[in-house]
Amino acid sequence: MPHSVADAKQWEIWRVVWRHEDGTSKPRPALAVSSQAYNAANGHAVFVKITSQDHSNVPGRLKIDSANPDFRHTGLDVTSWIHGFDDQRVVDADLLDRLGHVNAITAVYLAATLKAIIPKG
Amino acid sequence: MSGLELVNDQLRSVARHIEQTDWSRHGEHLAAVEAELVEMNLHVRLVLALHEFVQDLDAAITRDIESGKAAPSAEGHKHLLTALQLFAEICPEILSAAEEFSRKGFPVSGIGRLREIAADPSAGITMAEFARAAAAIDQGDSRPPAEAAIPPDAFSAAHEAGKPFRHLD
Repeated sequence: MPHSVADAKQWEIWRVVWRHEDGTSKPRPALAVSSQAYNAANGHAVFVKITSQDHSNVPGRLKIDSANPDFRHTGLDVTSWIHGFDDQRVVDADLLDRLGHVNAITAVYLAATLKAIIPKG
Repeated sequence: MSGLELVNDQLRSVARHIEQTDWSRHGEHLAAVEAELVEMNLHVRLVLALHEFVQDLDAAITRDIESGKAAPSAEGHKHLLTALQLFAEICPEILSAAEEFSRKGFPVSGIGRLREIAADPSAGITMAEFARAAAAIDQGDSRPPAEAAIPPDAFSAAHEAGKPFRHLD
């Protein structure tokens, strides 16, 4: 059954079609960071990348550790990292499956990371 | 997080000891007063050292979370809030005794810092701020956290900041 961006709640992890700049794409897990009101108003949801690769030089990333008790709610298989600054606008056709969600403490750290990047003044 | 559990054990031990100590005896015998003063100064030093340790731990964990080296952990933040709650319970009792000694002219070192910690044990502790913000949006394990307002400006700024790393898988 096809999904709509209206279904994607902030802080949910979905498997989405991730589009690359060279025109290729592949399914990958990603985290919804836009609100449902934003999604409804704009016809897309903003997702940020989730990767199982540990790129220590990437700014704005947060770890999701498989050793944490609430990891089971993420729907992920392995320890992963949210790349808060690698975002993509996802439309209905690119939403594949809802996997799970992050915990509240991860959500507040990511929200703070995103707010901190706004240029001052 | 075992460091925080150690802090909590120490604070509980101090709390038990305070409960068992009869602070009123200091008016009766000078020797007893001096012994109590030594003991109370030890308690003050211990509480200040433990609070400094919590501050250092907070700085180190926050740094690791912000660099992606460590994951934000609900359990770890819960331990930290427990430690701060214990400081909130213990500090006023020790401070009350320390103030009385101080009023009577006995030297109590670190009383100023103890006053600050007693007034707000979580001042300057980043993890405490995040733990409270998380508690406010937590909706239980079966539901995602409640929405947090993120200005659309943040998405465009993040998009620009992430450009050099977009090729990474």
